Amino acid sequence: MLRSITLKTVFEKRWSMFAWFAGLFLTTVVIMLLFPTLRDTLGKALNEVPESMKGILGNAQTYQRVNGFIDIQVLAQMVFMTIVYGIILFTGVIAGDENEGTLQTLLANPVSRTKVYFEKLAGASILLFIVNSSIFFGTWIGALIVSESVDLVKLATACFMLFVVTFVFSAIGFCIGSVTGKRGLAGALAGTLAFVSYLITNLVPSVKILRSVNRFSPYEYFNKPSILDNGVEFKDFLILVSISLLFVVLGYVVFTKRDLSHK
Amino acid sequence: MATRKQTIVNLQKLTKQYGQFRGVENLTIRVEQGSIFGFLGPNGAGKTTTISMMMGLLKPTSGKISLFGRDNQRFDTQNRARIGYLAGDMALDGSLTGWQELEYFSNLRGSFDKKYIGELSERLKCDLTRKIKTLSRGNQQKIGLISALMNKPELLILDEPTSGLDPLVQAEFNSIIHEHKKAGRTAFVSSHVLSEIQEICDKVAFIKEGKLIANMPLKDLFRSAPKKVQVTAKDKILVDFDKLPGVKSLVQNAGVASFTYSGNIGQLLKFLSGQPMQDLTITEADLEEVFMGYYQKESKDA
Repeated sequence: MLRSITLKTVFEKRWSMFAWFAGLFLTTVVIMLLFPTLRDTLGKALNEVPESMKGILGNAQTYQRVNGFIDIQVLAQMVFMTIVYGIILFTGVIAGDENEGTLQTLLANPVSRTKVYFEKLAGASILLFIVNSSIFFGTWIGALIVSESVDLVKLATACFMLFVVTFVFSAIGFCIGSVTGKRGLAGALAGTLAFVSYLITNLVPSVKILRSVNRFSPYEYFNKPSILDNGVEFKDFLILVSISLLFVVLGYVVFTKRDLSHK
Repeated sequence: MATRKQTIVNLQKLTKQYGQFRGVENLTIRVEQGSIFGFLGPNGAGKTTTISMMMGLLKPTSGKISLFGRDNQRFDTQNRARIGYLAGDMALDGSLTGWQELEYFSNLRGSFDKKYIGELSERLKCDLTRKIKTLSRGNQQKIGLISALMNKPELLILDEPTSGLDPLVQAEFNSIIHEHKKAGRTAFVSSHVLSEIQEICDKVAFIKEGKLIANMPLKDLFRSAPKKVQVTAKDKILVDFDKLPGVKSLVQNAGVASFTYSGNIGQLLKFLSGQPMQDLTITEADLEEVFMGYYQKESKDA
């Protein structure tokens, strides 16, 4: 496992990956176990909820179908958790190592910054993908337990898009970390952007003033309309990938030219 | 006819500014193949900044760095393949064992000489089976040293290499550096612990507040350095040492006079010849005193 920077990155973070995978898998299964109860109770209660909150909480019809329940209670909630993991992970591999001084030690070896940058990105992406797959497995197992059938191809597609939108904010954290060498700053900025984006997209149905900025919110391109019902919008996928690429390239350009900090 | 040695390190008017703050200014240093070069200065003088620029971690504001006769482009992996580097504040991955860390670096370099690493770890008394985070600072430093030495690099760049090492291991380190030199390889060693440089270096440079204040072979440094003289008279001191040019820091106490002398030694002996002496001791100043002498001189000049 210590043959390349990518494999070393995966090896180094394996325990936290297992922990996050197990935590997210179990949480997802537990959420799915709540489906029969919430379908019968919460669905009716939501008739009383103001329109503005239905974007976040869903509406009565949503809770009558397992796909709607997964959209609101699994994908929309768990994406926060995967983003937290993604930002911690991606800001750690370059900026975190630079803060600890291990990046400087690594660069004493005959490896280029380009190699370091992309191999660390690859390692972090593999870890993120594995952790994100816990949502797929948790939903699938949970659905089996409550005897609901889910289209596994569409579920896999939705979970893949969950990975893609998580990757956007992770790439933003990675970029800021690579540009500044400051992990705390990168995490704070990427986390704030994720939260603001989530708020804008979910409040936009009732807060009209947000409509103009919503097009810049990455959440807008995730699971709208429901992937489980309609399949993925290829245009949305392209937009999210383009945003990620933009930040990855920006981070690369600056990282390969800037001074590294002393420990 | 003596063959001209290759210049391994060539720094020309190297300058680094951190915004408005000084890093280093106009450093010009040459290190020839097969020599051990000592780079001396107090903390904050600019030693680590200079080394970081040589390693491509920092970009010079101006000036040129050439290693092995080729321009040291930043991120030049070809040059780094020929260098063994130990940072002053070297950080290792605490979750790995020493063996794992060294195997990882070896893989990045394309060769893993387990036997030689084993030999180095025995000589430096370093336990490579324990996780790095459980090791003391000194033992982590040993792993850093092994990582710098394990590929028998043509150029060693060591920043404060013996900090945290006990005297026995320091002596072993010195002997490894002597072997390195004997094999025709080169080293650039920075330190503020002067005695360790004195033991291993051929040539030294002093840096103060980012500027080079001296750069010369060690033997010339000692030749030009004042001698420490102590005269013990049979009864009491009869001569007035103040009158002798080159005498400094004179302390006279009862029948004993101590001073430093930087003039012609023959003149001193002639001056003392009429003195009824019981004992005379003339010793070379150690590098610490020479170093402080340079610093004080520089401060006065400024």
